Formats: sequence, C-alpha cells, structure tokens
Amino acid sequence: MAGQQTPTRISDLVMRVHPIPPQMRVADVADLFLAEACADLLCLPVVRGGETLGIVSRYDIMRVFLRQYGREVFGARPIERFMNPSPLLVEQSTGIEEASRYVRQHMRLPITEDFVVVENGEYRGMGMVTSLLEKMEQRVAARGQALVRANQHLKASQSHLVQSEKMASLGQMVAGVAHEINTPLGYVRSNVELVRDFAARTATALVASGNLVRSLMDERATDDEISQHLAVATAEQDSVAETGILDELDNLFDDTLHGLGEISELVLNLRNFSRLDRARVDRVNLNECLDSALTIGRNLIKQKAEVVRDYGDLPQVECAASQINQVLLNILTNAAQAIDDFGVIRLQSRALDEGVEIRISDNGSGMPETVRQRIFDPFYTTKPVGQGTGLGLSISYQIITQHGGSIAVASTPGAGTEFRLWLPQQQAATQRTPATEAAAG
Amino acid sequence: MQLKPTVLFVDDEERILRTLNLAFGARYRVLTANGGARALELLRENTVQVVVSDQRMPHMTGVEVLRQAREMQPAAMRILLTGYAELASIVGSINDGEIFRYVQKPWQLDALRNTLEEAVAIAEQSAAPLLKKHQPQKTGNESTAAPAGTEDDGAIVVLDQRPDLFELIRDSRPGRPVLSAGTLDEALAHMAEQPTAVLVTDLNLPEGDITDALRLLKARQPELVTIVVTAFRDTTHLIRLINQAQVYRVLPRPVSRNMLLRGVESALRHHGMISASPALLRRHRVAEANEVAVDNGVASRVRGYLDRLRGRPAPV
Ligand SMILES: Nc1ncnc2c1ncn2[C@@H]1O[C@H](COP(=O)(O)OP(=O)(O)OP(=O)(O)O)[C@@H](O)[C@H]1O
Repeated sequence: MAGQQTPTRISDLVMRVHPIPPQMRVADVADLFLAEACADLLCLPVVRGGETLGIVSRYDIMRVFLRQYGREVFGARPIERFMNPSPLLVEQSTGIEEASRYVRQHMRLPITEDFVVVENGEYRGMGMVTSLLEKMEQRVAARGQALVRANQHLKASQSHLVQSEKMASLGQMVAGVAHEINTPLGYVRSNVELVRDFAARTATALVASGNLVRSLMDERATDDEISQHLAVATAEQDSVAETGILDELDNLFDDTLHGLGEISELVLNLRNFSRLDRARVDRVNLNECLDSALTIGRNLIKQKAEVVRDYGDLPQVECAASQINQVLLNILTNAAQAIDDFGVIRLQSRALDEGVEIRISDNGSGMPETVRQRIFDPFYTTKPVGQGTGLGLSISYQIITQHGGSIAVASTPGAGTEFRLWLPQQQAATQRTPATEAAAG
Repeated sequence: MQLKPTVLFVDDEERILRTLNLAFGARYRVLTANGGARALELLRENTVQVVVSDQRMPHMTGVEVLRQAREMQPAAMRILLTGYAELASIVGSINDGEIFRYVQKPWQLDALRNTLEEAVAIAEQSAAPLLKKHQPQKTGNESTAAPAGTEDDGAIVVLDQRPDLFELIRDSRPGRPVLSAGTLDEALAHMAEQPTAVLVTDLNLPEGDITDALRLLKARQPELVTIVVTAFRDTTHLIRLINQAQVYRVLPRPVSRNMLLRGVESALRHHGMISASPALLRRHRVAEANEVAVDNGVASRVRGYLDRLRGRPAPV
C-alpha cells in the first residue's frame, strides 16, 4: 500500500552526470551530446567547484548551430555564454511529491531541460523530468489500487459489523429472556418442591389418621393403643398444619399456573420476535410487535422506566416483522439507556395516511442538535467504547426506508426524546404485482 | 419460646416473595420487601440476620440494597438471589456487597435451606464482636473498618507473573513484609515461612487456574484475605470465587493504582478484624464443593503447605 512505502526522495532518481566546465568550447559540448554515454540526456550541467552555473541543452546547441555559419563562428566560444544560467535546482532531500509540484510549476514547454539535483546548493547530479513524472504516475496508480483495496476492506468489515450488531442484539435478547424465564421458573420450581413436601407429609398424616380410625373401630384395641394412634395422628396433622401450606394451597397453584403461563408467553414471544417460522414479509398488527419488543426488553426496561402504552386501532401492516421488531427493540433500549434514574417511556400508535404511525418517547437525557443530526450515521455513538456499536439506528433507518416508511426524531436536551416511525400499509413492490395482490385479497 | 431468627427477602416479583415466605415462614421470622426502598425501611426497624435480594429491580439494584444493608447492619449476612448472572452485578456483589453467597434462580429449595441455615447460624455467632467493632465507626463506605490498632503485621503475598503489582504494593507499604511469587509453589513456600494476611493473585498462573487452590486455602485458613486481579470475565467463574473461595475483592486487569491500594488497605483491616475474633472467621466459610473435582496436584500441594503450617501456633 502507498502508505506503507518509505517515501521516495529525489535522491533515488538522481543520475550522476559528469558536469562540464564553463570554459568548454561549444563544439566540444556538441560532440559530447553525440556521444553514446549522453544519448539519454536532454542537457548537461555547467559546474565550477561544485557550484552550478547553469545548464546547456541539446536545444541550445541546436539553436547556435542552426544560425548561418553557427558552428564556425561560435564553435570555439566557451559554453558559458550560451547556457541557461538559471536552471531548476532541486535539493536532494526533497520529497518526490514536492519536487514534482515545483518542477511542474516552473518547467518550460516543450521540455528541453531536466533539473539539477543539489545538496546544500552543491551539485550532485541530474534528475530527469520524465522519470519524475513516471514515478508520480506509478504512485497515483498504487494509491488508486490501495483505495480500491481499502474500499473492499471497509465494505467487508462493515457487513461484518452489521452481522455482529445483529448477533449482539440477539445475544442481549436471549440473555434478557433467559433472565425473564428464570424468575417464574424460580417460584414455579419452589412451589412444586413445597407441594411435594406437603404431599408427603399429608400422605403420612393420612396413614396415621387411617390407623387411628381403624383402631377406634377395632373392638379389641386397648385404650393405650388408641391413645398412641391418636398421638401420632395429631402430631402428623400438626406437622402438616405447621407448613402453613394448606391455607395457601389455592394461591400456590394459582401462582404456579401463572408462572407457567408467563414462561409459555415468553417462549411464544421469542418465537414471534424472530419470526423464524413465518414468511419473510407478513401482515402484522404493529401493536403486537410493540408488545413483543417490550417483553423481550422488559428485563432492561423495568429497571429504568415505567412503560405507558397508548395504542390505537391499527390496520394490518405488510412488513418483515422480525426486522421491524429489531427496530422497535433498538429504539426502546436506547430510550431506557438514556434515562439516568427512573423515568417514563410512552408508546403511542395510530392509523395515519394509509399506514401506521408509532411514537416512542422517553423523558431521559435527550440530545443536543449536533448529536441528533448524526444518530442515523453508521458507527455514530456517544456510548463508551465497547458499549455501543453505533449501528443500531443506522440499521433501523435502513430497515424503515426499505419498507417505504419514515423515521424521524425530536429531542430536547434534559427533557427527552421522541422517535416517530411511519410504515405504509402495503409495500410498494407488492402493490404492483397482481399475484401478491390476489394472495392478499 | 425462643425468638426466631429474622430473614429479609427482597424481590420485585410478589410470587417469589410468597413462595419464599411459605418455604421459610415456619423456621424464621420472614420479612418481605418488593423493592429497595421498602427493604431499607425494614432494615431500619428490625434486626435482621440474613438479607436475600434479587438483583434487577426498578429504582434500586440488589447490589445497592446489599451495600446499604452492609452499612446499616454489618452483622447481617448477605445473599444475592438472581436470575441472570451479569458481570457487573457479580463484581459489585463482591466488592460492594461483600456477599456470602451468590445463588441463581431457579434455586433448589434444599440447597437454599442449607445456605440460609448456615448464614443464620454464622450471623448469630458473629453479631456480638462485629457490633462491637462497628460501634465507633461512622465513615460510611468502609464498613469493615476496624480500629487501626487491630492490624497485625502479617505478610502480603503477591502471586503474579509480572512485577508491577508487587512493586506498587511494596512501595506503598513500607514496614510490612511484601513477598513476590511467580508460581503457586513459591507463594505457598512464602506463606509457610511467614504468617500471611493478604494474598493478591492473578487467576491464571503457569500451573493453570488457581480457583481450586484458593478454595482449599480459604476452607482451611479462613483468616487469609484474598484479592483477585484478573482480566478474565467469565461469570460462572466469578460466582465460584464467591461461593467457594469467598474472595474479598475482584479487580479488573489492568488495575488502577488507587483501586489496588485501596483494596489492599481494606483487606489488611479486614484481616485484622476477622483474625481477632474467631466467630467472624465463620462469616467467610466457603461452600462445600466436590473434592474429587479438584486437580490432585493443586490439592496435594496446598495440603502439603497446610501440614507444614501446623508446625507453628494456630492463629485462632
Ligand atoms: N432516546 C435517546 N435519547 C438520547 N440519545 C439517544 C437516544 N436514542 C439514541 N440516542 C443517541 O444516538 C446514538 C446512536 O444510537 P445507536 O442506536 O445508533 O447506537 P448505540 O445505541 O450507541 O449503539 P448500539 O446500537 O450498539 O447500542 C446513541 O449513542 C445516543 O447518543
């Protein structure tokens, strides 16, 4: 990648061209240009004691010789008189980009001269404009490739992140529901153990009373025997009464059944929430989606807020319910997280413009306008590193717009935030296809 | 009739409270609270031997309830009874709640009965010395604060591969022996030579996880106070550290200097307090665990060390 390359310097391009002295005759310089060694050179440097006096190009010599009798008249004169006394000088330590910028700004067209490379003003060699430009071109190409690669990389990691956001919210959801299930499971199990214990004691007491009754009926039974049976039966009765369960038996069974109901509801909700057993696009009542998201998030929400539900009568909405549930859960968890101590989350729904509007508001921290403008941007989060991916709302936005709906947010710092969603009753695509219309009708 | 010990249950699910009341009402005087506020009210009005609280409740978490209970009634044993083990709540329950057990829902009635019975017995035995110790102290969040004079001069052993913790502690405690060990064996050797008050250790050592070693050490030498420093974030593991090793503090790695020094400070005070009073030692009794499950190498090394210990006068 371009970034990892050690930066190219002019010193890498320098050609050690042997300079010519200012006194050299024009004709000798012309001969030099014809020599094999100089075939690639556009010009030659004129140097005295390390100091660059100028450069002389093939073009300069040609101009001299093109004059009438040029060679004869000027051939013996010192080259000094015909050179360009102000050539382009480039310090050897200059970066290649800076040098090329400088050279491009100052070079004359057509290109007849190269530039002189110096170190602290002292002659070091020649640099060719063409190789400089070539180098630059390579770099641009490399950078382009790097850009393409970076772009591919970014796309890959973005889809990876979207995936991990999904997994994270799934994990959160499963963990939350596990906790929710453990609560009813806790009292159901305890109740069952209590009743088992109670039943065992009752059975013993029943046997003891049986023995007592039999001894009472038995003519041969002695008073001693009877009173012994009586004592045992009474003790067993007391042991049953001591549990206090007899009076609570009704409550105990009610609670147990209630708990089992809760557990089935949670399991049902989990299934509804992910809609694994349903078609991708479905006709649903969004009030049910709201309830489902509430149940899934209850564990987190209940610590932070009281939930007020204000549902209207809604038409069925055609949507990918599992995606919409994900959106609702995300907005609900954000709302709960925005509340510092304990607050209120209000859910409203109503039919509006051939669709359904849902409003979810909280009286949490709210956000300033600068934050509000960015919350749908991918990776934008104000949460500490590791706590928020900043993808929740950007994914929610994508989901809602893909459904042809809209999502907007209003917020006042210190007062709270309201998210407003609207989803059309029917998906645009299905409105046009007669097949699905027939199926729907 | 003898007064029944009092147990306070805190949970926002009334059905949980109802079943616990039924399960324990015959044995104990049961108080129930459906939230933190009510729990604190009851703690103000009643002397309680054991507080059992749920973690996730509106307004106040269980850890917070237990932390405040610790301040109001330090003698009461604290138990967290929760449906979902979450890292933050576990660490909080160790460091702030200083809890006796972390029990998960759904619980087994028999096991919970035993845990409560044990907790009640310990609370009753240790109440007197604890109350004495706590009378003069009104600083708030260090409930284990004992008068400075009760600090003994037991060593601090730092069991860690890297030198940073050791150096930090040594430099902050001139006058107290601070010993560094790279392996469990070295640490045991130090401890055999010198009475040790506090063990600061990482969980992952060359010889593997040392939770079992901690458990054995704590079972036989309850006055040893342990601080675990770890980057490890496995919840089941931390729960074992509470229930089976009664660790005193868990600090996340990389550890902040202040947190570490504060932890060591209160560990030393805690050590001074519990070794001064045998009844208090029982407050850190660890749960029975299957001895067979313990890696034999670790077990025999720890036992070897303990045998050597017997050569010198027992601390109790
Ligand atoms: N109800 C709200 N009140 C205040 N700020 C909010 C609210 N909802 C969202 N935000 C702000 O919008 C930001 C982006 O939210 P988004 O859901 O995209 O990501 P996140 O919640 O930070 O991360 P994650 O989705 O992984 O939980 C949040 O960091 C927060 O600052």
